[in-house]
Amino acid sequence: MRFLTLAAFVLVSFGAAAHAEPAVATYAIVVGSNTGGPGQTDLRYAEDDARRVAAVLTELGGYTADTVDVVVHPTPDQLRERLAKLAERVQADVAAGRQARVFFYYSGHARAQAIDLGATELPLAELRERLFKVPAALTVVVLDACQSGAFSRIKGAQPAADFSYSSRQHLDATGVAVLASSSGSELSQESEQLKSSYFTHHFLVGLRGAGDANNDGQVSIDEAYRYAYHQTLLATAETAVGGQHVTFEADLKGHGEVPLSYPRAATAQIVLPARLEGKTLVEDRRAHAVVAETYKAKGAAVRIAVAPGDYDILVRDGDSLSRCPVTAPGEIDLDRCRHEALVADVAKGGAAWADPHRYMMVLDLVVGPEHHDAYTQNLSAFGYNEDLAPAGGFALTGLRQVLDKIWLGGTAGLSSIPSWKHDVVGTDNLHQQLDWSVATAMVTLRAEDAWPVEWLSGYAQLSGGLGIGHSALAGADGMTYSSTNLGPAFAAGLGVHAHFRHAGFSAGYEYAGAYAVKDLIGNTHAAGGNRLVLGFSWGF
Amino acid sequence: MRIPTLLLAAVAVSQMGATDCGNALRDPGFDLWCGDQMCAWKVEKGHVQKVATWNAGDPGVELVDSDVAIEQVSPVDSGDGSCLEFDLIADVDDNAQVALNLDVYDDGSIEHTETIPTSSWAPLTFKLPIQGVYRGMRFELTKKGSGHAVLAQIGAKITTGCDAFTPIVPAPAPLGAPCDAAIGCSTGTCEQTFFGGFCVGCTDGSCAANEVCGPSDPTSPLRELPRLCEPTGSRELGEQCLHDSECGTGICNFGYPQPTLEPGGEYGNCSACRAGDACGCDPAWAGGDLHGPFVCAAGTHAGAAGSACGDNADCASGTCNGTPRLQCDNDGRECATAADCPFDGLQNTPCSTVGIQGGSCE
Repeated sequence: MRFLTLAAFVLVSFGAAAHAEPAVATYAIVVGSNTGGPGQTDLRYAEDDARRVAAVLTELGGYTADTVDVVVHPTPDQLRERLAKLAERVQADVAAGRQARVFFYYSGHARAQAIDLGATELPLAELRERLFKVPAALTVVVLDACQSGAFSRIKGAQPAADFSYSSRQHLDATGVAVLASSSGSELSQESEQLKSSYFTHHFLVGLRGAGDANNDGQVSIDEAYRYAYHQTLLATAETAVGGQHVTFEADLKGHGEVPLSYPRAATAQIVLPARLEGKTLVEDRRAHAVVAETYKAKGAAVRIAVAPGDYDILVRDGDSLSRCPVTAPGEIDLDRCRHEALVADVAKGGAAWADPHRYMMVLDLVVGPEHHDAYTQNLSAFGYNEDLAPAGGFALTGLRQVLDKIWLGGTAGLSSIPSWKHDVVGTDNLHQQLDWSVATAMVTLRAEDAWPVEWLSGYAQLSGGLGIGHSALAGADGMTYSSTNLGPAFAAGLGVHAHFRHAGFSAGYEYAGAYAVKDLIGNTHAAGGNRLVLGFSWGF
Repeated sequence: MRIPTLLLAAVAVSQMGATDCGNALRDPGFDLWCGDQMCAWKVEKGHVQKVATWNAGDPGVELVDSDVAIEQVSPVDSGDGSCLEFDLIADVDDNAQVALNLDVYDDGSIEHTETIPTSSWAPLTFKLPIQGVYRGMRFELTKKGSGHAVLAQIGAKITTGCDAFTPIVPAPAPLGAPCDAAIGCSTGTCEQTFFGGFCVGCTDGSCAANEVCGPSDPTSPLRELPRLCEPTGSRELGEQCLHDSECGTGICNFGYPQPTLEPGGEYGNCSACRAGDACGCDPAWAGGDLHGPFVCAAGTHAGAAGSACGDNADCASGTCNGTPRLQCDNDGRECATAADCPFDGLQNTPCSTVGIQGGSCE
């Protein structure tokens, strides 16, 4: 499973008018920048998100193509130039007696006091200043900003809170409201499954109609916020980074609802019938892209505005999965839905509802020939012979996903080592026998990635910790001489892991050693050796 | 002379394998302890003690004093093989001189001495070939000096691959040892039988007028009884014999029924009567196929005072005066402990008290 983080900032300011009217000019600047600044990993979906936002604004928001300015991977100067042009156009409208509505969207990296546009920055203070200089009656600003992320392109939450808070203080005087994708102490995230940021994805799904709570055919900024809040939180609650709370602060004194989209006016809609219930995913059949994802409650129909075309609606209710074909505009005919088998959780791509497992328990059975070293050579010299049975045991590993493809946890194991037996020459069946075993407690680091199909992964695992060796020699005098020693232990292995929903099976190779069996003449046995590993896993 | 054919058959059988899966020594790891003494090894001199080796449960022997010797007699013979491989593990410091002595035939002559180098539990392996026919060997481990010396393992195993090594040439075979020719015997006489030869000190008719060529007292569990000229009539009631003239009673009885089929059965016992005599002549004791002296009315408590007896039950008084007779269960030879008795594998056969030797009723 793979989790990317993202921080989104939504800043909304309102002027005098709240409704899109013919007399109101609409403008949008939609900015996306995947490129990270120094020390930042490039994002994957920021620029795509910007394009999607632009498409929804054009399709459902009342904007026309010539008034939506999509700016991909700009430099600060380029962005300044676009903002300056926007200000000029709005100034002209105001001079002409028309009110103007402005929508600004940004998705990309950010630091505490600036957004990162590749190698250079644009200070947030300057961005605020330039935005508020635009004399629009209504200004909507969405910042999808991220801070430095080590491995998984983490975007910083700190700038979100910083920006949001200071912005609000600054905008209060002009009636500005703030909407942020996450709280001040949280990280925001990208999703490889959605191929988008969580927040932007759900924000847009809400605009497509899923957020139309009062079913009035338009999605207000309040509705969009509530929808994005719940869906983003649900989607991120079980990720490695943790739940992401969208925040919204708006100063709408004297103003009514502020519609952001008009899904009912769209050229095509998919109607989710009233009796449909479950987690619903709208997939563009031709593009194989997820257009919308929502939880459809029973009792009221829901309209999702989409482009005309063929779609598959996947509905999961508990353990039941149905696939319903539909052509937009149109309503799902539930009688045409067919049941499908649930597939395993996917590492990336695939069904967006394949919940990523944050924890995994693995019970391994290990078997293999015991390692030979100076200790066992000494046993041979003393006339002992090793049993033919291989060494074997089990290991229980608990893992938590800490990074994309990386799991960290602990392993407790117990292995029995083949006995060594020495017949006392010249006696009737009198012998000495060494029985021994080793228990281990180790920290385990595991890297796992889907290959070559989604339900099959390859993994490599490394463990290190302590081993407790126990030996018991049954002497020729009938007494048993036991000893217990402590020593370092390690294990390194690789294999394949097939997983189906929660359960999985694995097979692999491992080399293990626990320097925990010692004799009285200075030899230490590294209990272990080459091992075949067969495992059963459970993810949750 | 009368040929002890079954005795020689026993010799032949022993030559077919006197080891334990090729191992020539019993308890090569010093694992068997009878109290504070080793069960399978004998301390010749000095003091030893049980100590831990690689594990407390796998003991070794520490040669404590500055002059210590332990030994073990092994029945290994040329029938087993002529190439011995030794595996030795010891902890010997610089101030101790440890050696392995080989005494072929257990006749007291050391044919080879191998010095055990200073080591700290490092395994040491070497091979020694033995030339010609031999029967039995005494392995002696000695330590001189004040240093620390612990022996953990001294394995001796029949193997192959000794061609590159100079063989040990045994001294001429002692009395009772097997031989191919007279030149191989210290006595210069090799008595040939159907099963092979053995060294003897005399032959029938070679002794003086008042002597007879017969079995003498045993000298080693590895060898047959020495055949020597013995004074006529020198054997007491119950002792082993080949001729009537060896016995003070003038009767050497070969058993009832006779002959027996066990090793040693070809030896008779000096008796007071002959089987079949009208006095109710029966053996005074019997153990398996071995028997004691034949006496009249044996076991019936009928013997008058002064009459020959081998057991208290032979006497009306209930008391048979004489010397307790200890003999090996295996072949009836006189013994003091099991260590005097021939081997069964690598273990000596038991030595048991069977009756009274030279007895007369009280």
